[in-house]
Amino acid sequence: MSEIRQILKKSITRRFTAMMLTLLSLLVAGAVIVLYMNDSSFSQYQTTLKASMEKRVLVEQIVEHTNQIFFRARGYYAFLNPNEYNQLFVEKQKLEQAIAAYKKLPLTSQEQVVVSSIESFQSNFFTNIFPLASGYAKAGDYEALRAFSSSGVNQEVNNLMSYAANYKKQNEQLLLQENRTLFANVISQSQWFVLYIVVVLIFSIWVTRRTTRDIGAPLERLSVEADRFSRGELPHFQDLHRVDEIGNLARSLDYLIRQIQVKEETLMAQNEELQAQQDELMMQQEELMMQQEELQEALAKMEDNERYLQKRNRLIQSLANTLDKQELLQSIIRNIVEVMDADKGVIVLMNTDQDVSSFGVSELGVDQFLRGLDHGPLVRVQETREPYVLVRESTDAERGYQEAYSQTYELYLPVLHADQELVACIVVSRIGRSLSPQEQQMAMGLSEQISLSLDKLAMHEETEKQRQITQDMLDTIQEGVQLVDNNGVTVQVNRTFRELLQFDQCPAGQPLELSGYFRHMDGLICDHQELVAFVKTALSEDGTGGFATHLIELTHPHVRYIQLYAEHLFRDQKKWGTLLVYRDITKEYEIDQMKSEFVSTVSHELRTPLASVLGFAELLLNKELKPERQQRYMTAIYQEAKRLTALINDFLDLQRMESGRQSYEEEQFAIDQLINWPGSIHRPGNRARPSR
Amino acid sequence: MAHILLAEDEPVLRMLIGDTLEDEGHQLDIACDGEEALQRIEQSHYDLIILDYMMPKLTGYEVLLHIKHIPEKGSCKIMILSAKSQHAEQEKMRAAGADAFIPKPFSPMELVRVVEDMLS
Repeated sequence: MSEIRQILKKSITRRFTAMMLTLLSLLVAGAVIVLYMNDSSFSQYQTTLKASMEKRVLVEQIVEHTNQIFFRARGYYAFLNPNEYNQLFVEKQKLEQAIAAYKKLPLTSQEQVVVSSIESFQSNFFTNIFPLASGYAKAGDYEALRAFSSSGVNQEVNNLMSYAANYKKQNEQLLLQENRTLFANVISQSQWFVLYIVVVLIFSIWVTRRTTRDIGAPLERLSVEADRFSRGELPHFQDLHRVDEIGNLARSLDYLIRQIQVKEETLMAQNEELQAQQDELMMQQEELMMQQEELQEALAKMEDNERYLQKRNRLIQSLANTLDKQELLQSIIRNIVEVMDADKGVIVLMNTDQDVSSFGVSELGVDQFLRGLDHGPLVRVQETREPYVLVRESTDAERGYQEAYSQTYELYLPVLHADQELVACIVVSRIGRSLSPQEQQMAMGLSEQISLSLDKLAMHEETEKQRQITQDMLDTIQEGVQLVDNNGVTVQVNRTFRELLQFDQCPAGQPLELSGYFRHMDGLICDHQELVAFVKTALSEDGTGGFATHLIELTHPHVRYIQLYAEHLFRDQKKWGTLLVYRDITKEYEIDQMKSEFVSTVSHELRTPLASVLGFAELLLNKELKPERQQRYMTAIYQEAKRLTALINDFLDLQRMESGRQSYEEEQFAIDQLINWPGSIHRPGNRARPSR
Repeated sequence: MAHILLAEDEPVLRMLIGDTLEDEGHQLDIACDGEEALQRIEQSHYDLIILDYMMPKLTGYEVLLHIKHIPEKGSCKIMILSAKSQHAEQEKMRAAGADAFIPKPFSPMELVRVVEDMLS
């Protein structure tokens, strides 16, 4: 028992569960008892009631059947009706069944006596009385019958009737009594139930009170102590000795509070230290902020400088890249307006053409500027060679939609040559924004750059002019000229070269490499390898001596013969290039060829008859020949000699024709005779090869 | 006695060479142009073939090149007659496989001597 108490003492949950289980058990036990009492009272009442009702019904049946027996017996006596007789025995049987049923019920002693008397009467009636009385009736001796019935044989029946009446009354009395008993029981049970409810209520109150005392109060105490701690007071826990959850909670809280107190002291110390550090950091941050501001200022200045340098670079780059005058002027004025942060500007060259370019100025404005060139502020700039700033009221157009007064600053910037000669003048305008001396200084710096680039442009123009003269001269030469530098790149060619070697379809301006030249020539000539070898040798040699010439046979688009020779070009005793000269000698070459072919043909034509003449003469001289053979040989010699003579005459005629000294004899003859002449080369079927 | 083919388009020279070689006892066939010469060469065997350089249809040089492409005719001796007496021409013929080169005009006696040399 003490062990269970110990277990319950250690846990609130277990205690609460045990109390609730006890309460539940009490509730269930009370309910069972009340239900049992109720049920037993009612079942006893119902049993009694049922038995009493059954007895009463059976007694009434017994009386009824007995009456019926008498009624049927008297009917039979009177009328001797067999039907009555049968009915009498049916009733007898029913009476016996009722008596048997009645006897099965729990009977009082008085009831048992009454049943016995009824049985004995029934037995006596059917054994003695009815046979005797029916015998009288059958004999018609009704007198004897009347005497017999008055002799008291019916007394038993009358007794039974009175008993039945009494029994009914008794039965009702019994039922009344049973009802009373039941009512009394119900009242008694209600009282017990009320008592039971009261007991349950008392127990519930006890459980609640116990729970409150055991759990609520300690928790409230803990809460109060935690509150006190939070307000900074020192808490005091009463439930530290308890072994249950409240005890654990109190001890944990107590431990936590002690730990917090200890940590708080440490944290307070650290906090003070951090506070000091934070102050120091704040000071450093302020210092850094100041440094950052300084750096930002420096950075802004640097960015400004960088922007200026970028613009200046762009200006310089555009100056370097452009060699077209108008393009250069346009580029200068656009970039300088941008660099100077101006709104518009004009540049004019001090040459005879007065080349001009503007940015943001209308054509009318430019014309007006040019007209006033010799009278405006430019005169002052020409004299002083210094930049000049003109400040004037902004025109309506310059102000645009601004109504306020505004001034326009115009900077007249001289562009000076190295010998201080004014070569150009730039004017840039700012509307509503002044020009600082530093900006004027910067503009002068830019002006120097512009001067250099204008010098370069002038030199370029002069060079270009010279180049054009040289090119024109070269183009007039009958020979093709190709100037190749030491790297094999073709520097310049003339028109004849392009036409002769069909370079006119090659894109001009692109440098022609040696490999490209050879590739091009490969498709044009038949002895390509020889040309490659000749050109390579000619380019690689650096002697001053002349070279052998090379004959190129062009095959495309028609055959041409080109004589190629090379000449080296020297500068300061050093070879810097080679001039390849292509001379079209097609005509001379063909004439040469024809001449040599002619000589060869003449030689051949002369030798054939000569061979015959010499051969036959030799045979005639050295051999013994028959006369007819001699005659044949002599004829042959004669004919061949004549042929030889005709040939020689023809050659001489040709010579005279060439020299224009041929005299012609005019005569008429039929042309077909000439065609059919045996010696004609145009004779049909004659051999195609003319040369013999 | 040798079997000789003479290919020459000039009738007078055909008569001169023909008479000279027949006098020496050689059997002679005549062709008037290059094509005829080639036909005869394909049909018969000759100990010596004399080709004029300048002939209609096929020149002597062209016939020479053809012969050199026929394997069984490789041993046959070939003489070229030409009015082109330049050294270069002679070298060209010899390079193509000619055994002798006789420039026009020529001596019939000399021709006979060269023929005999070649046949021996």
